[in-house]
Amino acid sequence: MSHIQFEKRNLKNGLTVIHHLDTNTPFVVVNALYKVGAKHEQSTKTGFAHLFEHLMFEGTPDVPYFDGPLQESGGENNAFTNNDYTNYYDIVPDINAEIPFWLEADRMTQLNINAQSLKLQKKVVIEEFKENYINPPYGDIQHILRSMLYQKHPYQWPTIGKDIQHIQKATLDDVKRFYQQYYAPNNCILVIGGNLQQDTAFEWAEKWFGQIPPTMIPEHHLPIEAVQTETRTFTHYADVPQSMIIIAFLMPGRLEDGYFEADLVTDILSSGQSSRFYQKLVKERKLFSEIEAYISGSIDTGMFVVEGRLHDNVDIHEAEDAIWHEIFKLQEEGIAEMEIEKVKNQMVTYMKFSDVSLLNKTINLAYYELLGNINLINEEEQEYEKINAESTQSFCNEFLNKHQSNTLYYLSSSCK
Amino acid sequence: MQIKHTPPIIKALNAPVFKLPESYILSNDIQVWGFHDDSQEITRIEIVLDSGKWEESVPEMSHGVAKLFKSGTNSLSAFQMSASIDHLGSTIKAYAGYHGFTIVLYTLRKNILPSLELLNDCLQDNIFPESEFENYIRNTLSKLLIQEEKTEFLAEKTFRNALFGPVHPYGYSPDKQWIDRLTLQEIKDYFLNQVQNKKPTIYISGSYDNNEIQILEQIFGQKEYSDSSSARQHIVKSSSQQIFEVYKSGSVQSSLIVGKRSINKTHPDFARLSLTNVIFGGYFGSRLMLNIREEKGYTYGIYSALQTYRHDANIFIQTETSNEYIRPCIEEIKIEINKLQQELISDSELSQAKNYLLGKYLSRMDGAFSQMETFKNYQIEGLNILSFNNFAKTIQAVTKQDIIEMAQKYLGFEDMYQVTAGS
Repeated sequence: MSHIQFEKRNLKNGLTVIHHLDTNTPFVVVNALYKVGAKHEQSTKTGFAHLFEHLMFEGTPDVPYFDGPLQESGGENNAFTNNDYTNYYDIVPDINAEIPFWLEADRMTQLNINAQSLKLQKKVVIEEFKENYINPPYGDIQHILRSMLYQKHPYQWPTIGKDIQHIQKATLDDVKRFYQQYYAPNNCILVIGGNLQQDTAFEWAEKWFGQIPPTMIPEHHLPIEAVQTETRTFTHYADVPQSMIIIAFLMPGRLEDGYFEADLVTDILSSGQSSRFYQKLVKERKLFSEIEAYISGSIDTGMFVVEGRLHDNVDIHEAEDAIWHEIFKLQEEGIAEMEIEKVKNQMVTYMKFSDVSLLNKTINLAYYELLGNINLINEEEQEYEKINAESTQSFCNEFLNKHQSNTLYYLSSSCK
Repeated sequence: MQIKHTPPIIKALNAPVFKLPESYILSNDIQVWGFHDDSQEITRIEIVLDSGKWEESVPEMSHGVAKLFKSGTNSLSAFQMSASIDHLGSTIKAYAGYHGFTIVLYTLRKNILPSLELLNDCLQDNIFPESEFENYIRNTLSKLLIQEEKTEFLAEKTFRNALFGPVHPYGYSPDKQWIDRLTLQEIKDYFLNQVQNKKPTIYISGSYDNNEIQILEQIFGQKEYSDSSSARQHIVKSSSQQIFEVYKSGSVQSSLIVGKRSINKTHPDFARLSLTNVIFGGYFGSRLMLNIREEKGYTYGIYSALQTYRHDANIFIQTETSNEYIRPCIEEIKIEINKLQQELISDSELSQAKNYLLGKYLSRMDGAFSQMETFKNYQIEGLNILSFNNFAKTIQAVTKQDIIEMAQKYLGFEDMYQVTAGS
């Protein structure tokens, strides 16, 4: 089995620095993960962590245009925000490896925050909201689903935010406070991967970040989502060509027992053409044109989702019963070892191909460190290996029950 | 607080030089190309036929064949076939490009032999059951309904149709009329002539040594092929109408595409034009992005691209924007074109774009899988990989005057097609 080697150190100001050497590539990746995501937002000001991510590219007194020096270096960069954290990465040819250290340290300390850039990025984010969540068919499913499943936990809104209004309302003071509170070395995990020797990497980390003072990071005591005890259903009409049915359940968080079982059960149901949903519901019974099961993969209590798009003239309750039939089979008959072995084998190949990418490895190191156990990056394959018929069956019995289900009937307005 | 260090000096990139793959010839003259990477015990093997959409007699045939590649053989049903592949943890997929029909295998190295046996069973003995064909048609039509709800899809479809004509392989997009008309016999014919009996080229990357080459020999090295080079012609029929407005009710944003036919990689101007495209709309720091997103905030993203094919090319600008910003966007695009055609760009902007593009070239040869992807795509496009090196060198030598010349020659707005899809 492959093993990702790394070295970890903490600077005095609380910055975690991780180095991974890969001499097979002429590139170096510098990845800065900030431990703040959409779950840290107030319910009246959602979408803010992501809006702020946009502002991180608006320059500083010394570097008015963040992308400039990176592009001049032959590199590129991007960022993403999710419910749990915000992640920035820079990829440069190794001859210019020091550039991203300078740039990331610079925007951690003296970001240019002004009314004009805020106004501008609000507009851009509103266009992004429309492009991804309003204009495309079925674009609002995540919004509806999250508000059904989560009664208390801030996972009840997606990263883009609950509502365009929230983005419009963001003020300059909000931005300044957010930057002071969360964008500090003691809230950041810095990972350096690629063709750069360890000593140089740590030396440069100390040189550029060592003097940045830590701040008081606000403590968050996020509510724990209580176990659901009643069936929830919701019917939504939209101008879409075909109806969908979505059945979702709360499931264990990233570090809790049952997480890996959930992941493999979704593969049993819908990964590849030999999967159960594809064989039974798409090909044999011709109920769905597409159906998949997936997990949200979040750190706190997650979502286990079954999402199917119906062929015309299929009765939605027949389709619903057919999904439940497959779930009951998992609970009553369990899964044969042979079938479990199949999805494990698929998982191993997937993980190995994914580890070829330097960027993936670097981002993953930051993510596992955020989880609190960076060694998991090399241990997860064994975790999947441990899964057996018994543990998957008990997962299905504990979590995939009707009285804990959330069913969204997403109906084409033509059937109204 | 400010950090008191002098910023590091940015070093200019050298033009990267492409490393050639290893070459093996099987006993029946099949060419195998290989790039090694033993850091993981994984291997990718691609079987590429010189066919793709270009060799279709009716649109969508090759797509159908690709989707039905694992639809069952005399020994294994479709389900048994996928279950066997999935059980090895392998993935086999077929897809049809414009000029290449590719069957790709992703596998653990230890499972290469059984995986290739399954792949070859599909390749030599596919029986295309009627029920699988019906399933394919039903699900493809259903997916198409969703695509047609997307303004981006509608805009691109209209644009390609206008540029190359509605039945040209570069011009058509998935459409109900083609899919409805497709017959099982057409699928079988295409498979027989363009996939099964055409001599492939094989590309292997990742972990392998002579044992794996022996496996390729054992599985693919025996069959005899007759010469089957193609002389199929397709005539481009560009539309005389230049402006298209596709109505899509209820959309809060519209998709905009503006563009025209252009030059491909065989043209001496290619490298200079591709750098000009980078400056114009090809990266985050481009004129279009800085103006229309970062200054005006009209859109989440706007970009331009020079897309090349073996026999043609097109250059276009694309964005999604609120309906009220469509007109202003078009005006700004025109302004940016004019500027590029008339004003010399600064040294720093030129060097930034050059380094960015050279960095892209470097990333196309980063690791065995990327190297192979680049090498294979050059071959499918009918090019020698050495032109990769020439492009990189040419990019380094581009002058400010070149940018003006390229913009004047290839970015004129007057003969661009203009498509909006939305409400």
